[in-house]
Amino acid sequence: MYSVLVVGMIASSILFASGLILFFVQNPNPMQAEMTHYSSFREFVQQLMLLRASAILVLATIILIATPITRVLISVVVFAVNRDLKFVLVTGIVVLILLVSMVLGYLWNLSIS
Amino acid sequence: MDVTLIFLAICFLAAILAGFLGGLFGIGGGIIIVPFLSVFMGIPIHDAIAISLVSVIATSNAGGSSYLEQKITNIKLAMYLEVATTAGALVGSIITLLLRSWVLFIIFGVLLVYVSFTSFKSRATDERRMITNEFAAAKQDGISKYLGLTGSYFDASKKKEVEYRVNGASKGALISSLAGVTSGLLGIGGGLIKVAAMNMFMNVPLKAAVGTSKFMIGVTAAVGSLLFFVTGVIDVYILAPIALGTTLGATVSTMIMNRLRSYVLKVGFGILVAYLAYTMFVQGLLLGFGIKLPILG
Repeated sequence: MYSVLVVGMIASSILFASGLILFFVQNPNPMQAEMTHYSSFREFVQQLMLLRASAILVLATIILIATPITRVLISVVVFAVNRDLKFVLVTGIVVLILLVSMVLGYLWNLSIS
Repeated sequence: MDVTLIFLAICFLAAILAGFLGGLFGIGGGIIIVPFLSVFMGIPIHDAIAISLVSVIATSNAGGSSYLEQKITNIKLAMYLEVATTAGALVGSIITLLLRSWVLFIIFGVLLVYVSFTSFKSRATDERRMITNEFAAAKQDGISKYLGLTGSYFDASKKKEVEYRVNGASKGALISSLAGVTSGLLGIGGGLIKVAAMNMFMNVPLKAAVGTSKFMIGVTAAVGSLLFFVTGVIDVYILAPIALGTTLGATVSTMIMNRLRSYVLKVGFGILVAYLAYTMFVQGLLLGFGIKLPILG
């Protein structure tokens, strides 16, 4: 669990820092930030391959958000390996609630847009 | 949004401060970042909340890992309360739709005034209870006993191992679920309320509560962040310096927290809670009665 947090922290920090540096290299007179919306996953990967600053910053954000979720998933596994069934259940409920709120939030977003 | 080097540098410096305080008190720092971005930097409140929420994850990763390494975090307690906070966030968002939000703000304001007051009043009790061994001798309730919620950490200011047995599991869960509600309402991780719930109602020493809260808030914030991310309202250019700053600030403060006396932490905690209570009243009075109080900071 410790290493998940540390890897997530270091990876996203490096990407955030390099993304910002690249942004100022690519835009010597930065006025308007470029967009960070992608029509497809493929477009995002292409932008990433081109080392566009915006794509790197988006990747850093993804890693950041994924870190605590990965931590919860890994703790389910750790408790299962240690045969601590009570806590497999407790952590399992957390995973379930996370899933339900994501689905509800997604539906809610669809309904207002 | 224009992105300039100076703008980003100011965000970075403010975020270091937010991350520093967040590490000391087991909170995400949203109560600092949201007003900073919206009042001082002129960023729309919704964007500010989204950026703040994602940055809470950054400080939780940094601070949470540091407290894990120092063995201050109680992982089992964190897992148990995560059920309550995530469920609270879920139920809270439904309640929010039914109840007028100013009522919620006022209720939380009153709750926080109580927490702040109790924090000042009990500023010396943590150290007294360590000496009289009350943390270790407490009688556990059914849930805490069943889940085996006990813990210990090495207190660097007292130079001794502090053992504790968790009790009041249902009361603590109820209050943590309220923390989940505030998280959905205001874009904050609800760390202050979690720390208060553990320390005041669950027989957890303040430092263990801070470490455990720091570990938990990332999960609470991840849900909301994911939604903001999917809808594409996160400004990654502002997020970058904020996330870097809070990571740095939290890393530094988590290294010194354990060396401070609980007494000092409690007083600081009480001041922060009083400030949060005030902002709740500001929001509540504005939304309910159109009364405008000045925002500090």
